[in-house]
Amino acid sequence: MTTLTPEDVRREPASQLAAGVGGGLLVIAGQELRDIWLSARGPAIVIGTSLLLSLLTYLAASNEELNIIDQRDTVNLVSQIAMALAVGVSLLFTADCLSGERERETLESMLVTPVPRRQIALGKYMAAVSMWPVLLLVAVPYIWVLREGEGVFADAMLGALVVGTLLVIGFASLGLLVSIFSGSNRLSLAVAFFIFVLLLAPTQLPLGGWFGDAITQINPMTAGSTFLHRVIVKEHGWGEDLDLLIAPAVWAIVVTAAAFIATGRLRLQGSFGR
Amino acid sequence: MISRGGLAVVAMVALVASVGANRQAAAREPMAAGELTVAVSKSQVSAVTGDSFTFTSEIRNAGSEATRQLIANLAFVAIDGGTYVDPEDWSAERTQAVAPIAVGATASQTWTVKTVLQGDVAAYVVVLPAPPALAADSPLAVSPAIQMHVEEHRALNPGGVLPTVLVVPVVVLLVFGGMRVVRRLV
Repeated sequence: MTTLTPEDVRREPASQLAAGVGGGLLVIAGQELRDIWLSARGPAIVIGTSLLLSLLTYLAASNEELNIIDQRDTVNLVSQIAMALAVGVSLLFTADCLSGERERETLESMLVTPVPRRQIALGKYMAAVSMWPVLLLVAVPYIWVLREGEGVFADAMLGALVVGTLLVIGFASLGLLVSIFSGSNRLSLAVAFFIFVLLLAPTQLPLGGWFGDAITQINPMTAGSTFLHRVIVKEHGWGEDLDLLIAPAVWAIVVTAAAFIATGRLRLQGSFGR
Repeated sequence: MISRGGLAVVAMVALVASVGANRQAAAREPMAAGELTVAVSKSQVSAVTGDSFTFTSEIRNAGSEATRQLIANLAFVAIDGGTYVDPEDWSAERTQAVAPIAVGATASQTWTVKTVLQGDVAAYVVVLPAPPALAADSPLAVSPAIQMHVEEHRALNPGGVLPTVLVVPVVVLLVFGGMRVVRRLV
C-alpha cells in the first residue's frame, strides 16, 4: 500500500482535505484504489481468479456432462469459490493496510496529514472491498454458461451478492481490526489468515447433530455457504432459510463496528508483535 | 455310555434343532420371490464415457399366487477389478416400486444408465419383496447381467463452456492491459 504522496497533498491542499465531511476519505480511497487497480496487484488477482474459474468451470462442466456433479452443484461451486476468493483477498488487503504502512515506516507521514484517522482507515477499507464487485462481475459469465434456466442464474447471483457482501464486509473489517493493533505486517497477515481458515474449514466438514447445527448457525462462513447451497442446489425459497443470514449479518455489523471504534486508537506503533 | 440325564439333553437338542428347521421352512414357504423371473432387454453394451442408454427389465410371476409389493433395484459392479463404481453416478434412479403381480403376469421397468467411467462394468436388476415381508433369508430374484464395455471419450467442449473459459481471461487481460496503455498515453 502506498501513502499520500507530495503530489496528492499538492492536489488536495490541507484545508480542503480537512474541510467537508469525507474530503480526506475520498482522497485516501482514491489513492488506495489507484494503488490497487492501476498497479499490478488488483489486475493480477482478477486475471488469476478468471483463470481459476475457467479451469473450475471446465472441470465442472466435464463432470456435469458425465453426470458426476449436478448442474446446480456446479453453479453453487463456482459462486462459492468466487465469494471465498473475494473474502480472502479483501481480508488480506485490509490486514496489510495499516500494519504494512507501519512496517514500511510510511504510517507516520499519513498520520500527520490533516485527515482524521477514521477516514484514513475507511478509505483503505473501501479500496480493499472494491475487489468484491469486480470478482463477482468476473464470475457472471461462468455462472451464466453453467446455469440451466434463468432461475438458477438469478438465485446464484442474488445469493452470492447478498452473502458475499455481508462476508466481505465482516472479514475486511476483521483484517482492519487486526492491522490496527499489529506491530508487524507478518503478524497481522498470519492472524487474519488463521482466523479466515479457522472459519472456512467447517464448510468442508460433514456437520451433523446439535453441535454441527450450532456451528452451521453461528459460523458466518458455514451459515453463508449453507444458505447458498439450499437456495441454489436445494431450490429453497429465500424465506425458508433466512435464519442462516443472521450469522453473516451479525458478523458484518459487530466486526465493522469494532473495527471503526478501534480506528480511533490507531497509533504509530502497534499494540503487539513489535 | 450315556447317562439318563445325557439322553434327556440329546433329546432336547434334537427337538430344538427340528423345531428350528421347521421354522426356517415355514419362513421360506410364503416367500414367492424365488418363483419370479427377471429378464432384461440388453445383454451387452459398448459405449464411451458420457453416453446414456436405456433398457427395460421384465419381472414375470411364474408362481401359483400373486406376489406382494416388490422393489426392483438396479445394481452395478466392476468386472475388470479396477474401475471404481459409484452406482448413483451411473443411474440417478436405481430403485422402483413394483405393484403386486398376478399369477402369470409381468411388470416392466425402464432404466436409464449413464456410462461415466471407462472400464468393464456389469449392471443387473435385483427384485426383493417390500417390507414388512422382507426377511433376512428371503430369496431374491436377479436378472442376467448386462455387460458394459466403456471406452474413454474426452469432449473438447463439455456443455458448451469452452468459448467462455477461453474468452473471459483474455477479455480481463485486455481490459487491464488497455487501462495501462491508456494511462501511459494520457
